[in-house]
Amino acid sequence: MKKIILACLAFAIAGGAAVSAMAGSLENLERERALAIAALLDSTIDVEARWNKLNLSTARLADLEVMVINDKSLKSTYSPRVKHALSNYELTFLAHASAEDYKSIAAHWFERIGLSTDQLMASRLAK
Amino acid sequence: MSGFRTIIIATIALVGVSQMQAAVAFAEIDRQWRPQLSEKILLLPPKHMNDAIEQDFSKSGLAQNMTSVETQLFDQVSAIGQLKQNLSRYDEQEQIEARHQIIVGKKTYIELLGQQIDLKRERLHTKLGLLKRLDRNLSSDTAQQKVASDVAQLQADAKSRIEGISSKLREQIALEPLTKETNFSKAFDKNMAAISALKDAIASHRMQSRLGLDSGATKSDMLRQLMLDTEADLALIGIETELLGHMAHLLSLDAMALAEDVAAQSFTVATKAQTYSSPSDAVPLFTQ
Repeated sequence: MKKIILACLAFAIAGGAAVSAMAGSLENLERERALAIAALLDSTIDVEARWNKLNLSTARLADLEVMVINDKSLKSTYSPRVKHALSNYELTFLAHASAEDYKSIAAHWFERIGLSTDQLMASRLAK
Repeated sequence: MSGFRTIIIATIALVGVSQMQAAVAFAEIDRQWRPQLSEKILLLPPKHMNDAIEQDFSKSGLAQNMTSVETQLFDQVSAIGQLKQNLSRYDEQEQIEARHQIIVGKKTYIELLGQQIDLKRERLHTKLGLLKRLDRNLSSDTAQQKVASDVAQLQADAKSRIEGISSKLREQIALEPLTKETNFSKAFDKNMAAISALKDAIASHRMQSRLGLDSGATKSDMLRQLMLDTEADLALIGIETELLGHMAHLLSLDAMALAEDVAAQSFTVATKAQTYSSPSDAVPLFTQ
């Protein structure tokens, strides 16, 4: 009897894991974007490694962004997260938005979150 | 013991009769139209939607009932016509009988026509109910679509921006020595080209205009038009009922005319039967 219960539990957990493993196009894009930003901010890697990583991320992000804009399932989603992501084009579609601005992904992202050289220079030290 | 047997037989007979009545009742219920169509009918092209509704009706018991009444009406009309055609050939007594038969035939015809009008009305009310139900479902779908339309609009805006810059971005990626074009990118281009070719073929297909697809009319417009047509048919049914009333009036006048003719004939026979003498007739007897 205990074996049967354990088997059922294992089956239920495996099923739940399978469901949670299914990610949408937007989740994949957000994951890849997070990795790109992590590489951008990673102080343990040198410039060349960062450059290579960001180039690879740009290619992946370009594909993932195309997947998101062609994902018809998003149209029937009422999630505010989806609406928020699509409203912030400049930060969600990093690869395409940076190409529009003739900038690298890094420069575009820093500028959009308010960390450009000019903005940093204009800031003042305060206690 | 024989009394007990009688009771059993009577009970069995009663149960049998009640079951027969139940069967008759069920037969009556089956002579209805209960639409078997689901909301999937809304996926059909506009011109086919009404056809699907009519096809569903044609399978119903109500349609069979109407066809049966229609056959009886046709038979009645031909019988009345036949009698009218032969009326001049009969002698006076036979003509009275033939006119009586015509009036009876007309009465049956009016009764059948009234029944047919009731069935027509039932059909139209059922159709109108179905169309209203479909319209309600479509309205709730439209309300949900309105909520989703904000997201769809944002996605469409993003799509137009991305499509404008996509080729430039891919050129930039291709210039990088370490990155090569991804499989997704290659397959995406190929599939988009195929989709574009298919869309062109769909737009230029001759059935596209014939089926009324993409003619600008929404599904709710189409449903409203169908409801309007059904309401118009119901109004016509009202006029048909009035027509039937006039027919019945005319028939009652015919029946009165026949009764009067029959009465007049009887009076003629009665007046011919007996003549009584008057004193004025006998005056010459006394004066000469």
